[in-house]
Amino acid sequence: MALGRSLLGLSPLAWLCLLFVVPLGFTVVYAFAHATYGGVQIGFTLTNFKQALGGFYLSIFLRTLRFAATGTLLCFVVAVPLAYFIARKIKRFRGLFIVLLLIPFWTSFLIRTLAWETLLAPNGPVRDGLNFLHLHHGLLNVLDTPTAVFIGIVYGYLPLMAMPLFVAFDRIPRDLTEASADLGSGRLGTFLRVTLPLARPGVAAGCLLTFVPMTGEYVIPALLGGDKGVLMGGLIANQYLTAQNFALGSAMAVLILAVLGVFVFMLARTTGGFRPVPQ
Amino acid sequence: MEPTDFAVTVVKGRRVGRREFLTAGAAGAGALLLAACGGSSTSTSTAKASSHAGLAKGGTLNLWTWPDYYAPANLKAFQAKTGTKLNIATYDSNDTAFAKLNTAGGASFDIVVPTSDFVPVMAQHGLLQKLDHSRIPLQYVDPKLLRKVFDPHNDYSIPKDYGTIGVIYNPAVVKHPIRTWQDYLDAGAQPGVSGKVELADVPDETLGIALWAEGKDWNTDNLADLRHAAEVMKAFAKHVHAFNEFDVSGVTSGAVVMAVVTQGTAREMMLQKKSLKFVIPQPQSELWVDNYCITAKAPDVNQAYSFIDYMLQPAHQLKDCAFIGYPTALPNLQSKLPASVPLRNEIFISPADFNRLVPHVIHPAIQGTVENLYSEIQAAAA
Repeated sequence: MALGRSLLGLSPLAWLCLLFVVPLGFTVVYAFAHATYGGVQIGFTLTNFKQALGGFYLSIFLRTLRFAATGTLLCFVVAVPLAYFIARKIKRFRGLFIVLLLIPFWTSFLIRTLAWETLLAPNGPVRDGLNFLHLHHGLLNVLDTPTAVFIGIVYGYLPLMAMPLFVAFDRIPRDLTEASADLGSGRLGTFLRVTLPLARPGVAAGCLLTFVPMTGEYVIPALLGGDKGVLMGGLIANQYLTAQNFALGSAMAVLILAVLGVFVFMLARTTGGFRPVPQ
Repeated sequence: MEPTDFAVTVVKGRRVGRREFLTAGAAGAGALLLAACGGSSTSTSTAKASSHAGLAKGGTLNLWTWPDYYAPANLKAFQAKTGTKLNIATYDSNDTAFAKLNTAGGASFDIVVPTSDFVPVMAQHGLLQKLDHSRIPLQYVDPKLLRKVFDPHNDYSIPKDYGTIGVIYNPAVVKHPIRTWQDYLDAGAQPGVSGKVELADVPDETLGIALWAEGKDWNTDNLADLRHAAEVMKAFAKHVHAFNEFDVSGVTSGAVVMAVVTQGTAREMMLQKKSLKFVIPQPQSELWVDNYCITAKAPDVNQAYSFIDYMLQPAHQLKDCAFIGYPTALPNLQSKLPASVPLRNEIFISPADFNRLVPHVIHPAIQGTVENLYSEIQAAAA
């Protein structure tokens, strides 16, 4: 019985090793290898890392961090009212709202992004709607600008931010918010001083789940942003797919992994974010 | 969160612009008309004579190709005639084509259809096999496309279709006449045009514009020349609306007034907006040729030659031309294409222009640098 249980417990571990740790190991080995066009020569060199830390790449990395931070903040601003509303105000059709939030998330990411490209076209449906409502006239100049990119980003990543927030808001006992009201706090005060701090694990999880993938994002800026402005994910993809320089791409990937690893570790330590808040 | 399919990640990458996923309705109608006047095929089939082998029967054929790149009528007729089962896998860029062939996953493909600049690289990596010309009806391939710099003896490639890049613009807005590539760079900086210009999302073509404007050879591997060209384009980048060589809705709606596109894409745009003009600027531009190649490890070589033979037949090349909107390799194609194909003359390149076109060749040693320079240009545009 104990053997059966430990075997069952081993299978996720085996899956993790085979499909995650081993490929990661390949990447690390490639990062130190000699680059050739379309292949690598296994060896040990630090040239790839030196290149990856070069001026241009460093500036792109910083720009990517800024981009991801902005996107995460925007997602947070949109997701908090949404999650709060579903968690605290909807009683009967809550499941339906959750499903409505998640179903687009399960459909193809690329199709949803391409749909925005059609919607935001200069003479597309959004322009027609805005012109009809007299909120705008002429061609819509949103596509191929940062605005379109952030619309696409928030739309794509919203469920990742909203779900942990929803779970966290849902866990807050009503007694506490009622007690806060009894003690004279207004609704906004209750929210800022009681609800949001109690939802800290959800906030931390949501921010992490959006920020980290956003640092690797490059498809949405390519499709909705006119392919201007380079982000780290795009640079790495270029190294693998077009420059055929696997060693440099791997070195960049390892560097990002290291930086984000440190960042996540520090975030977890300083916010105590993942430990459940004592009730 | 990221799409892991490579085809998806390069959906805006090299060459995808001219691989339309939507064929213009007019092109489809043209194909139907050609099927109706397909009677001409009987006269040429007797002229086939003995310069090629017969069609192989049965078996399977694995195509590794651009999407929507053959008239459906041709594929159906081929399968019906030979009984060969066609398995088609598609890629959106030459890099993806190369990368997959370079791995074990590419061992099962028989035919690959690379663009001319990738033929030498693939051949050098041993991914293509030498072609037996006695099995290929070369009389149906225009000699002006053969023996080009990327494959001087056509050892590895047989032309399928070809094209060029040029500038499409709205003459009502772009008052500066576009005759040379320098005119394009100057016009892009004018008020009213700046911010409404598009460049191709292809590194070589982008650097090529600056090199051509200075009268240099765009196949140079001189890093100083390339870096200088990158500086010119970085200065130009602030006028760029997007790096997109297939923004049909942008150009036809007027959000974009000048763009670098292939002649086939220009034709698509002109079908929707008649007032647009297309020009191949002086002094030079690109000649790109998409080629039939047989992979080195092809398991179905007989079926591969059979397919190439079939697709090179004049009637089938006419159908392909009307379907994809690019000139196929048939000699005197322009006179043979029915007048009913809309804007038919825009598919072709005049002989005077054709003689100014230069194919591109990838230099593996500097390709990484080229990609990085292009990334810097993209970053400068933001």
